[in-house]
Amino acid sequence: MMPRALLGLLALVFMNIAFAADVSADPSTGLIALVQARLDQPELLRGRFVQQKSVKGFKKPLISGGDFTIWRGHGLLWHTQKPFESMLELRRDRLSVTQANGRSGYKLDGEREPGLRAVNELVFALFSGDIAMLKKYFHMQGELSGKQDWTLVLTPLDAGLMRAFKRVELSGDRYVRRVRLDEASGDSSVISFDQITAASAASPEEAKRLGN
Amino acid sequence: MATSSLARRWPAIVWFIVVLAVAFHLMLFWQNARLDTNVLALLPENEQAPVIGVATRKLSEQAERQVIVLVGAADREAARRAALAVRNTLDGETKILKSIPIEARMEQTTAFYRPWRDRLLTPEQRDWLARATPEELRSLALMRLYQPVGGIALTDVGSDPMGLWEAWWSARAADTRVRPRDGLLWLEAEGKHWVLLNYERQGAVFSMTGDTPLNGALARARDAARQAEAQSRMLAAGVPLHAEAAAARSNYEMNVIGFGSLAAVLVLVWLTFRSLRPIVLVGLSLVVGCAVALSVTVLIFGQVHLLTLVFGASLVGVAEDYGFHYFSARQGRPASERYAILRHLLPGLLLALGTSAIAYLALGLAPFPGLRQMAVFSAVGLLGAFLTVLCWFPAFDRGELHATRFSTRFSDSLVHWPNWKPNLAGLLVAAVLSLFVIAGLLKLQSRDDLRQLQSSPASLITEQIEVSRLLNLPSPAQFFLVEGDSPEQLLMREETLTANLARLKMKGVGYRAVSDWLPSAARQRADAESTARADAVALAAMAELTGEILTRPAFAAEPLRAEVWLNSPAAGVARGQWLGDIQGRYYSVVLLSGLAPSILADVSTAGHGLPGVRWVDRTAEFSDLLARYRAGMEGLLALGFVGVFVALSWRFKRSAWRALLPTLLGTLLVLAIFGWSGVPLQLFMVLALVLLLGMGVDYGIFLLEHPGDGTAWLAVALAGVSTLLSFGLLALSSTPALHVFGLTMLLGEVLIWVLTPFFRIPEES
Repeated sequence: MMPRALLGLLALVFMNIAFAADVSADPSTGLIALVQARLDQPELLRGRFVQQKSVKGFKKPLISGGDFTIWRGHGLLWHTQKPFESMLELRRDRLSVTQANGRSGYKLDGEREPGLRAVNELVFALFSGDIAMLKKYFHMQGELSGKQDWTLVLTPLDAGLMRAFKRVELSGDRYVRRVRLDEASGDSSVISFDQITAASAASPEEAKRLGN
Repeated sequence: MATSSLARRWPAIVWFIVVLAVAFHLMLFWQNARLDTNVLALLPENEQAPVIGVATRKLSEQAERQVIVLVGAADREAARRAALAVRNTLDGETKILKSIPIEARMEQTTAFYRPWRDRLLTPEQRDWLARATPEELRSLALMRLYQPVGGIALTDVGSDPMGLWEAWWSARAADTRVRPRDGLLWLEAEGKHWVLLNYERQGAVFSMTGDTPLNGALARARDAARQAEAQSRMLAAGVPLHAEAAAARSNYEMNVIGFGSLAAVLVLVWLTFRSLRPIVLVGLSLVVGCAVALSVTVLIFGQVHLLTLVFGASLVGVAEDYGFHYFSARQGRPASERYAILRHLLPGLLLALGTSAIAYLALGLAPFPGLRQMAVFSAVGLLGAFLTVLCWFPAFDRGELHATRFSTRFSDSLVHWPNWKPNLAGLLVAAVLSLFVIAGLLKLQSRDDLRQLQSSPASLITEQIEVSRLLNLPSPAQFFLVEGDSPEQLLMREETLTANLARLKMKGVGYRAVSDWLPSAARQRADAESTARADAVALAAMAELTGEILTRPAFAAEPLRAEVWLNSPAAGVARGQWLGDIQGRYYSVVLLSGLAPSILADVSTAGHGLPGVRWVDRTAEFSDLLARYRAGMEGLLALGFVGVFVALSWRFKRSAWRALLPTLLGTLLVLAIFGWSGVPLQLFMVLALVLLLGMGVDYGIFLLEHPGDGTAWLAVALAGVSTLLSFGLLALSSTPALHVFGLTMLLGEVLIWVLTPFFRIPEES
């Protein structure tokens, strides 16, 4: 039996995301439509990430980095390489984290946790810039700069989701380049993406991890 | 002369005073009628362990007023629209339903548990922490710290570096698949989105007028849902729905059976006597009989079950016998002879009353509270009607009563009825009948399950089952009852049991135990030690990687105790499973979900050999009980035949067999007919046969008491037809037990009635 530490943590997020308002968001302003127009929606995205996490109790931010794959309709691979190796696989109805030594860390099953699908939806939407999906959960304000760039500020529509996030800020061009998550606890994370490439099909390795 | 007239009058006056008292008592009773509809109230308490009865009662009381509504549709938006339409409709029904708000307890509950966070582990965590190497602990803590997505902060990293608490909460949340979302409770199951609405029934759960306000409100809600969303479905479940349906049906059946048989009896009286006086007096004897019966039943039992009233309504068809006998004999004789006529009839009437009352009271031998009520109600009702005939009839029946053409013709018909003789034809008939009976008896099967008492409409039951399946509700009939001499021992015993039950998870069996929310102090101490060890490793790993040192705060020094937990908002749903102190010992219930008949045996073995753990299977228990009492009643029936034969022999000497044989034959034929037609033998059939013995023999008694007397035959005929009508109507009851009871009585009555004159004493030619 594997530990269920993260599993529990995420489950709580899931539960809270399940609180999220489902009302159709405020009518999309022209600005958000313009942001949407600037974003590409490829089948598959690969790239590298750097994450800076400020956690209560730690004076310095916790920095990690690695590479990732987002595969539309399938899920997310989050491969942390620094400061240690780990692999997070988020599928439509399953989550698993594998430790550096290859031993399975833990799994979460959508059958048992009904919120998993909603979390998957939300994480996927944040990292790939799926505006239509984000509108289900957040109130949005947008800003355009230059020919390509844009910034969106998201605030949760529902009190339940607000218990997890105070505010989310997304910015980018054709792709999401930066995500800033302000958690209700006061912790915050800034995730930057680069070396992003689009692809139309998954590699055999990715298909093995995220395929059905 | 004066003394004799006074001696004749005082019984009438005394009985008048009694009836006045009864009327007064019933007036008080109806102002605040205590009527019972719960079918389970008819069933006996567990004989071996009364505490099981207490446990079941406590559990069922919690659900007594609960009404659950599920509204579902293929997509979430449609489900929401339909659910809001349902909610709007039902929230308006404030007189019958109260909406139960969604409890926003999360913050309160986490705040309550916080000081004991270090003492709470899931079984998986406990196992893992016992086996995990420091290296595994380290990497897990670090992975959690660097997760891209955080959670809501139940605690800071220092207080729970392994994130153990969240998993414990997640396990608690897994008790239910329902999740709150934007102000509604949602459930995703079987390809549909469902919204759960909880209500509590307000006011009286049922009304004796046969109204169904709850059903009406739910029907309006169904319409509203369909209007809002054509493809939506609404399901409703809960005890109040069944109670209301039972009340409405009982009301209908009482009217049909009671008034139906009353009307039939009065029509018969009119046909026979063509005079108003017999109608009024026979009617009066029935009303007084029923009133006295109800009054005495209330005095003895404190309340009356609806089914008692339904069953009691059939009394009308039996209690009129005494009046019939009186008027049949009285017809065509001068009024001055009425006291003499009554004296002449008295031995036969008393014997008949005796056998019927004994038969009714024999029903009360079964330890079914409901059956005892019915027995007392019927026996007292008969006595009341009998005393009314005895005390009032001669006093009020002063006019002349002429024989009518119908009655004389019928009285005279007796001589034309063939008499059975042991000649060739007679023996041939006997042989054929014996073959039919023996073959039929060989085909007879028996069935003893609880469904005999279930009368809810099929649609209600299907919805109840569907709701239970969708919500994965625990079974109300199968559970573990755990016992201990202290709360601590009780919780430890629960923990041993749940460890066994956890192995059945693969088979889809889930459990809910108090110890999930309130572990034993011993377990809390052990878990506090393992979390302290793991947290120390995790904090050291974090310090090593980041160079920063976090401190773990101090937790509560003492374990969480039952008294503290019970009085907190955290007790929530599990509080109902804590039965507490019963006669100096502590009890709790471990509920199970996902049970299927095929795995019941596996589940029950999970408790085998564990001290203080008892597997309770109410369904099996009842079937077993019904079977045992069926066997017991079969014995009683056989004994009854012997007893009645002895009593008859004492009065009728060598002719006694003539009174008993028709009933014996009738009983065997009924059983054979059920055997041939595949109706299984069941307790309520045997009970009807016991009653049939008491009543069937009456016919024989009257024909033997007054050999060659056409008026006795007339009375027997009237009694037979009216009894037949009332029990025939009971066969219309939708309660399977009453239905089969009525059917048995109906068949038996006809057969015995037809057979009796065959065995009368041959008229001297």
